[in-house]
Formats: sequence, structure tokens, C-alpha cells
Amino acid sequence: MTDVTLLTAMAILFVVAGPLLLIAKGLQLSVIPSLILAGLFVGQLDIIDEELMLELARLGIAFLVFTFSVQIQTKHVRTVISDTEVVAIVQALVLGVLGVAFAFVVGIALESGILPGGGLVDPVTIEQALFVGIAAALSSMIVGTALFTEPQSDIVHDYLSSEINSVNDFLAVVLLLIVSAGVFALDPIATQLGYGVILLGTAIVINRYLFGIMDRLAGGSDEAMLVSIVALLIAFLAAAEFLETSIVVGAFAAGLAIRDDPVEYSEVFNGLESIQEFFVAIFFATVGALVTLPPLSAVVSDPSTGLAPFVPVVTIALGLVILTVVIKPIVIGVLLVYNGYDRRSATITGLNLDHVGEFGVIVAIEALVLGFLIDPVFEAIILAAAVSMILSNLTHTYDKEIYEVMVDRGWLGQPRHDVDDWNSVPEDISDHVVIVGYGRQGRRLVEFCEEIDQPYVVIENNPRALPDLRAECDAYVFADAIEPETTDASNLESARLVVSTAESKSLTEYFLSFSDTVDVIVRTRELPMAAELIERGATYVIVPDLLAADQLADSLGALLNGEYDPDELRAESMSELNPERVPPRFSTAESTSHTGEIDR
Amino acid sequence: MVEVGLASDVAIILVAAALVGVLAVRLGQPTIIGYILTGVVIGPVGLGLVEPSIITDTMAELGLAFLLFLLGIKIRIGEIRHLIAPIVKISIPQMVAVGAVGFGFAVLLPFSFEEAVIIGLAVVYSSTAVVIKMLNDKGEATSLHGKIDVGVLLAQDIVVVIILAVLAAGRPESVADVAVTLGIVMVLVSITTVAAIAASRYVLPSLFRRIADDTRLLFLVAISWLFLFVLVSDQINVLLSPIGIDAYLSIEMGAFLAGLAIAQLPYSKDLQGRVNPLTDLFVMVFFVSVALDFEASDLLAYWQEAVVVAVGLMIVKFIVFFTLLNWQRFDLETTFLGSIGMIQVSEFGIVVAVAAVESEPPFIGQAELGFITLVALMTMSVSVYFIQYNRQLFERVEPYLSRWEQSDPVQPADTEYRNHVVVIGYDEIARRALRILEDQYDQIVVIDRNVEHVEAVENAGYDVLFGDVQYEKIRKDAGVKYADFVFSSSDQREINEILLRETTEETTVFVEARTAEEAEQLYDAGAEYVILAPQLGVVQFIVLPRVVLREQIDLRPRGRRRHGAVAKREAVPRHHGSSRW
Repeated sequence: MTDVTLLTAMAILFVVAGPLLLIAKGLQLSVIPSLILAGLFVGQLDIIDEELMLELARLGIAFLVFTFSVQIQTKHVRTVISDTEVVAIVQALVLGVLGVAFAFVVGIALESGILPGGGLVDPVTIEQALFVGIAAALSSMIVGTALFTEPQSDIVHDYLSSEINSVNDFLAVVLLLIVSAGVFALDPIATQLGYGVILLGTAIVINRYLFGIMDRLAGGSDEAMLVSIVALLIAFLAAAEFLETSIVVGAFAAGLAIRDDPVEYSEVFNGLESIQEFFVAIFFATVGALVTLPPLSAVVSDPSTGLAPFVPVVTIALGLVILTVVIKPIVIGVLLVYNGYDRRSATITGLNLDHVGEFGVIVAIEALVLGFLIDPVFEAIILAAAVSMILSNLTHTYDKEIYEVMVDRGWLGQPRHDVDDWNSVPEDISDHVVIVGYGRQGRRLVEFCEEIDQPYVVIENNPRALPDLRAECDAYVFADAIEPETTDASNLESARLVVSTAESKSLTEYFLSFSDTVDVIVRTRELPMAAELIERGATYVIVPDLLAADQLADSLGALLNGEYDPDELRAESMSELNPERVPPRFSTAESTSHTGEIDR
Repeated sequence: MVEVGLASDVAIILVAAALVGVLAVRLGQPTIIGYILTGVVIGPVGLGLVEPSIITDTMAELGLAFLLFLLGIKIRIGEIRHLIAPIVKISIPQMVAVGAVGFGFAVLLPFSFEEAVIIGLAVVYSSTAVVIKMLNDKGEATSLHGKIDVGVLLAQDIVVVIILAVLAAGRPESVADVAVTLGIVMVLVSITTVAAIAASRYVLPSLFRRIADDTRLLFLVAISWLFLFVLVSDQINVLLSPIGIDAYLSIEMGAFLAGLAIAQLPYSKDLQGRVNPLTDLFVMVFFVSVALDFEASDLLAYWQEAVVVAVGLMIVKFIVFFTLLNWQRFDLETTFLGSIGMIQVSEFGIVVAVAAVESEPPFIGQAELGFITLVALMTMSVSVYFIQYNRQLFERVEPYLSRWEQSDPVQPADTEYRNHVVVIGYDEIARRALRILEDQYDQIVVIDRNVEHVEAVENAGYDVLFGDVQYEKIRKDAGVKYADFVFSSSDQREINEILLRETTEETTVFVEARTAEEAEQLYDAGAEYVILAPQLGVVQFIVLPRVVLREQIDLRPRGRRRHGAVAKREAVPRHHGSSRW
């Protein structure tokens, strides 16, 4: 190892990562593959003291698990498992089993000499295979979740992806706790679990009693609070080490000790986030640095012997990539279609989740550190993670195009309907209103149409809305709106109006293509886009902000002119929230629709 | 298989420092004191629990680098340009005077001539870490006296680099040797500065504009930028030795310049909030580790002398600074506050002393090093209190200082917001509100975290802050606390609750909510008006199809009828008031 200080090594890592991050941004890739690649490059320079870097990197893991467990307290705990969660669990099981089987086969091939395994000292045992299975199964995106998903998205494949991800996250943490609690080793499991329970118990005591004291002592100083929380985390990590369980258990317990109050401690949590991001970056870079590529000179001079030690690594990595990028989307897609989702949502969801997750990497590194995982398998998992993350970014970006190609080639067959009453539209319907999406706006529109005896058809593709559709709607089509057969079923061509309440680009595009024959109302959030949509033939564009702005202008104007004082405005606007007292600003017809809703 | 264990030293340092730090806050003491004390107590001087390790040393180094980086990010060159001349005129005589006095003290005490020279050189600087940390904590870093102090500290930093370079080169053979080293350092500092400023003008704006929307990417790329400068400064000797030049740059200088380059971009405010917590963490380790390197016997060998010199130096430093600042025609308050902050001996003094010990042959011994460290520790600790209570102190002594009052002092620029409007997020709702609000208010500041929005706001002629309102730093800069009207078009409940918590009863607060339940919570939290976009949207929009359907307008064949409000509004973007559907 070349002799450089830790600071220099860190500096080199970040300096290399910078341009890679910029390139990743240009290609719309996530930051993680860039960090792993930076580590991979710098790792080959042989300037990194792995032990020291790992120590810093494990702070990254600790912070990740810590933040996760801080948030988990306030998450709504449900006793009923939703259909998506079943899909997520079955998917993880299937992929896990496939991964294990694959690694096991590779192991046998290596041992019997079918594959050249030069330099591979340890055999690929079933234990090793288990970790390959874990890597294949989990596609969590814990680091990216908050940044990339929009909360409360009403697009089916978006919420499917995020729900499956959060189940994956949860599975990953459980696995991580199991792995690190030493279950895989033959240590006395009971003692290990006992220590874990002690740590968790301590954490809960701290949360209930000591945290308040800490808060009062810090006396409103964010710095003192931040430092105390970091110290608390470190203390738990040290305790975990002292008890010879994993720091992951410690970090998880430490998270439970913190009260999750993002308003009260906003500045402290902001601080934790920055610190976490710094150490997580170091973590992923270190992960990359731990992979040893065959020296280039050796490969060039004698490719066969130079590459030989690398064959098992590449084989396993390649297999993992195929499992996650090809098999996983198929499994997810099939499972979702089986659960009543349309093939478009199912396919796109699958294409969003086709990678080795970040938590899979964390499980791998914990296993490596604890001595359960041999280097080649670890390296294979890391390589597969980096490659599949990059590929996943591509499939995510081009998911709609990929779907089109698959449909055009007939790979997906015909749309499948697992309910007989998927469409309840009278054959001869015409001059009706087609309402796309049965969310809040859709429901209001249906009420209104019924009120004025206007025939309508609702199109919805979310199985969760199906019971309501059956109960409340005279005519509906339960299918992907963009399928031609849906268009036929809803008799779109002879409708008088189409209202798309979903803010989806592809839906908007699709319905605008009918604007020559039917009046089309679409929805968008952005004003420039609205103008463009009008230009392209929309009869009307719903811009929620614009509508809200109009009413706001009234209130604000009244306040500033002195018509209202702030208290009056407050009282008035609060009463508007209460639907019983009808806001005077709307027409009487409007207010009947209000009360109509309440009578229901 | 890699063996790792979380460094228990780090754990002990963090936990102990946190405990003592919290205690210090509780007792109304500055946290720095708590940290330094922690180092004394848990280090070899006290209980001997920890010794410095590679990790603690690295974290301490990172602490200084981040502190200077953070400082750099805060400095807009335009705002300090007029201060450069006075700072140069203050810092050079100051260093000469203080160095001479330090040397004088040492010669009078039982130190040899050579030791006295080193002591003189070591006590010249005031502590970057203490002054900047205290100024940051008190929110005075960008006040006039803060800027002067920072400027002088940087000038001193250049000198430290030179001295270190000279010491590392061994005993200088001649004045010419010193001159060459000095020349090289000056050239390198100039080159780095020019590179940083050129980058901030030509490279960084487009680069950062592309990534600024992604918070995490912005943060990581900024850190990468910081490390680029750290790496170059740290390795400049390695880089230049092939061409036969012995050169040194300090990491701190590099970090400062990296920050300075970013400071000129509109995205710097957002980064300040993100870099601050990391700085807090690492600087803490730095202060704890100051006292870790010493054995009690070395540290206390000259304790009586150290007390005398510490008291003497603090008085002399104050007098020197006061005279020089007064000479540069700063007003009395600035002169006093600027001087009282700079009375301590710097951690760089220790660094210089260490270099003198490690020089071959050594200029001073361990005991002398302990003496310098003790002076630094004592003066740092005392000065922290002077900075903490600087204004109260000034009020007390002001009557006695009145004869130094300037008739025509240099005026500080004041750009604080009062009784203004703060608008969070620049969307359609906010735009409409702005058009109404601008009739009533002169000062309007918009906060947004989207590059395009920020540019649109600038074009519309309002003040704008790029940043995440979640950060206290941003809210402080926008003066949320003193606003007369706060308008939030963010529908994140947490953010709106933070805003409601921070504003007073007098402030009118309009916020946005996603659901009726959230709206009620926000009313309970004190909002004057809650905008409920999705609901409002649907209510009004139902009216339209109703008209379309009920009035039996035959829409086919379609004459390009458009309820053209959207298009019309685009065409007349700044139409005031009463445009209705």
C-alpha cells in the first residue's frame, strides 16, 4: 500500500467522485453507481487503507439504519397486509430462491472444474449462496426514496414501486438484523438475540424518559442537540460492539431512542441528514474500493491466466445482473397482473425495480465484515449492484418505450381481465362523458353527472378502487385507459367529453389524440404546459394551482384592502373547511352538490 | 476478510464532548470551552482515557478544513472588496508588533534567544477556529467587525503557511532562503486564488446550475470541489518537487478558497445550511484533540510563565488591534468588537511550535511546546468569554473610550429585512399573490429551491434566496421572524408548521395544505389562511363542465372555442387583480 494519509485518501475519493457524479447527472443516473465506480477506480490505485476507510464507511451504514429506525416509529403500523405487500414478499422469495439456486450451481461448477476457479480458496457454500439470494431479492432504494418519489402520487405504477420498495426496505432491515445478530454463525444465538433485546429495551427507555431530559439540557441549542444525538448513536454502536453484536443492531436501537419530531427538531434532523449523506457517500465509495479488479498489466500480457481468478466473480455478477434486470421485472409483472393490475402498470413497476438494492449491498458488506462472506462473492454482489443500478436507470427512463416494444412484438399477449365485470358499459351508450380516474376529482364528477342525468363512463385501472366502482358507478371500465380495447369498451369515439383527472403525461398525450372527434379536458400542474396543451387541441386544461390562485386572490385582496382583518379571515376560512357551513362564494347549485355528498 | 472495530477513542471523544458540551450550554458557557475541557479531562493530562488516533486526527483536520470552507462560502467578494486595503494595513503591523512583544516576553523569562524567536512567531496569530466558530454561533460572521477579523485571520494564515514552509525547510541558511520560500508561497497562494475566482466566474456557474435542483448532488459535488482544493494544497509539495520546487500550502487556505469560489454563486446559502452540521461535528473533534497530544508534565512545565505571558499577550493584542482599527477609521463599536475578538493565541501557534520541535535539529523542546500550547489554551478559553459577551462589555466601557470615537467612520452596509413579505416557493399561486402583495409592500423576498424558478423571480424583479426553507439559515437570511406577511406555497405540513412556529402573532401567515385535515391542523397552529389547492381546484372546475353540459352548448363541430383564460393570462403576465374566469 502506498503511504498516504487518510485525509488524502478521502480527498482523492471525493475528487474522483465529483466528475463521475456530474456525468451521472448528465445521463440522469442515480448518484450511487457513480460513488461505487469512484471507489472502484481509486481502489485500484492501492492507496486506501481499507480498515480505516471501512471504519468511516460503517458510520455510513450506521447512519442509514439509524435514520430508517427513527422514521419507523411514526410509520403507521398496519395489521392487514395489502396486495402489493404480498407481491413484494413473494417476489423477494422467488428471486431469493433463484439467486440461491444459481449461486449454488456456480459453486458446484467451480468445484467440479467446469468453470475455471483459479485462486478461489473457499468453496461457494450454501451460506454464500444465501447472500447472493438476498442481493437478488432486495431492490430497496432507501437513500433515494425521499428524493425521487412524489408523495401521494395517484399514478398506479408510482405507488406500486414505492410500496414494494418500502416492503423491501423493511425486509432488508430485518435480514440485516438477523445477519448481524450472528444467526448465520454458530454462536449462541439466544445470547445474541438477548443482547439485541437489551439494546432495544434501553433505547425505548431513553426515548420515553431520557430524551426529554436531554432536550431540556440542550436548552434549545441545535448544535448541542445534534452533537448529543450523534453521541447517542455512537454510544449505542460502541455498546453493540462491546456486546459483540453488530453495529447495525446498535444503530437500529439508537434510532428508536430518538423522538421523531421533524418540526420540533427540524434543524437537528437537517444536520443529521448532512452528516449521513457525507458518510453514506464514503460508504458507497469504500464498497467500490473493496473490489479488486485483476491487474491490467497481467490481463494484457496473458489474458487467460490474468483473468482466471476473476471468472467466478464475473459469472456470479453476470448471473445476478440477469436475475435482477431480466427475471425480476418478469416476476413482479406476472405477480401484479395476477393481482388484478393492468399489464402496463405491472410492466412499468417491474422495470422500475430491476436492480440490486442499496440495502442488498449493506447486507453484503456486513456479512463480509462479520466473516460470513468470501471476497469473490462479495465482489460479485458489488459489481452486480453497480451494473444493475445503471441498467435500472436506463429501463426506468425508457420504461414506456420498452413497454410499447413489448406490446408491439406481442410478448405480453392480450390484456388479461381477472374479473368478469371489468366493463359495465351499456352497448349503445353515446353522448356520454368519459371520466378517467376515480380519485377525488373523478368522484365529484360522477356525482355531478348523476345529478344532472348525464350518462358517463369511468375508466380506472387501480384494483383498490374496484369495490367502489362496482358500488357507486353505473358504467365503468376497469382497465388501462391507453389500451385500444378500453377505448372501444367506453365507446370513446361517440362520447361528448373526455375528462382526464390523472396528471400523467402519457394519458394526456393519448386522449389529446382524440381531440378531433371528442372534446378533451386534461390536467396539468404547470402553466406553460397548459398553454401548450390548449394549443394542441385540449378544450380546457385543469390547472389546480391556477384555480386555487383565483380564490386566493379574493381573500388576499380583501385582507390587504382592509375588508377583513386577519382574525375575521381566519374565522371565515376555517368555517369554509367545515362542509356543513357552505361557503357563500359559490352558486347554489354548487352547494347542493356539497350537501349531496354529505348525505351519502 | 477485513477486521474492523469502531474506534473506541472516537466514541469516547464524541460521547464525552457531547456530555460536557450540553453541560456547557446548560451553564451558559460557550461550547468550545466544553470541548477543550473535555480534551484536557479525557486526554493524557487528565484521566488518560484516549490518545489521538488516525481517525481523530483526520476528523480534526477535516474540522478546520470545513470551518474555513464554510467561512469561504459566506463571503461575497463584492461585499468585502472595500475592506481589503484596511485589512492589509492592519494585519502586517499587528503581526510585527505582537511578534515583537511575544519575543520580548520570552526573552525576559527563562527562554533562550532561539526559543524566544519561535515563541514570538507562534503567538502572532489569533485563532481562526475560535473566532470564526464564535462569530458563526453569534451570527456575527458577516458583520463589519466579523469581516475585518476574518480578513486579518486569513492574512495571518498566509504567514503561518510561510513560517511552516521555512521551518520545514530546516534552519534557514540566509535571508535569501527565507525570501525564496516566501516568494514561492505568495505565488502559489496567488495562483490558487486566481484559479478559484476564475472558476467561480467561468466554470462553476453553469456547472452548479445544472445540479442545483438535486440537493444531495449539489452537496456531494461541493464537497468534491472542497477536497480538490484540499488535495492540491496538501500535495502541492509532491506535485512540484519533480521540477525542484519545495512548496507548501495550507489545507485551510485551500478550503477557504474552495468555499470562496462557491460563495459567488446563488446556491451558496443552501450549501451553508448543509455544510454547517458536518463542520460542527468535526470542529468538535478538533477542539477536543487540541489537548490530547500532551503529557501533563510537558504541558505544565512552565505554567507560571504561561499565565503571565497569556495575560500580557491578551492585553497587548487588544491594544494593538484597537489602535490599528481606530487608525483605519472604523467606528468605535466595530473597533472594540473587532479587537476584543482577536486577543487569543491560535491553534496555528501550536502547529508552528510542533514544526519547530520536529525540525532537524529542533528549535525548541517538548517543555517549550507545552508552554506555547498552554498559553494558546488559556487565551482561547478566556477570549471565548470576551467574544460571548462582547456587546455587553462594550456597553460598559463605551463611556471611557469616547475619545476614540470617529467623526466620520467607515459605514457598514445594512441589508436586513424588516416588516417585509416572505414568499416560499414560486408557483402559480405564489405568482398571483406576489402581484397583489407588491402593491402594498416594498420589500419582498422569495425563497425557492429550483434554479429556473429563482431565475424567473429575479427576472420579475423580486429579491430571491436559493435554498430550502427547512434550513434555519435560510429563514434567518430571509428574516422570517421579522416579516409582516409570510406566504407559503409549500404544501409540506412540517415546513408550514415550522414557519408558523417561527413567526409572531403580528405576522399574517398564508400557507398551503394538501388535505382538509392538514388544513385544520394548520389553522390550529395559527395560520390566518390555508390554501387548499386540490379541493379548490375541483370545486371550481366542476362549475365549468356544468356550464358546458347544462347550457347545452353544442361543442361539435368545434369552432376553436377555448375557455382561454390560460392562454390569455400567459399573454398578460403581470395583469393585476381582478381577472376572473
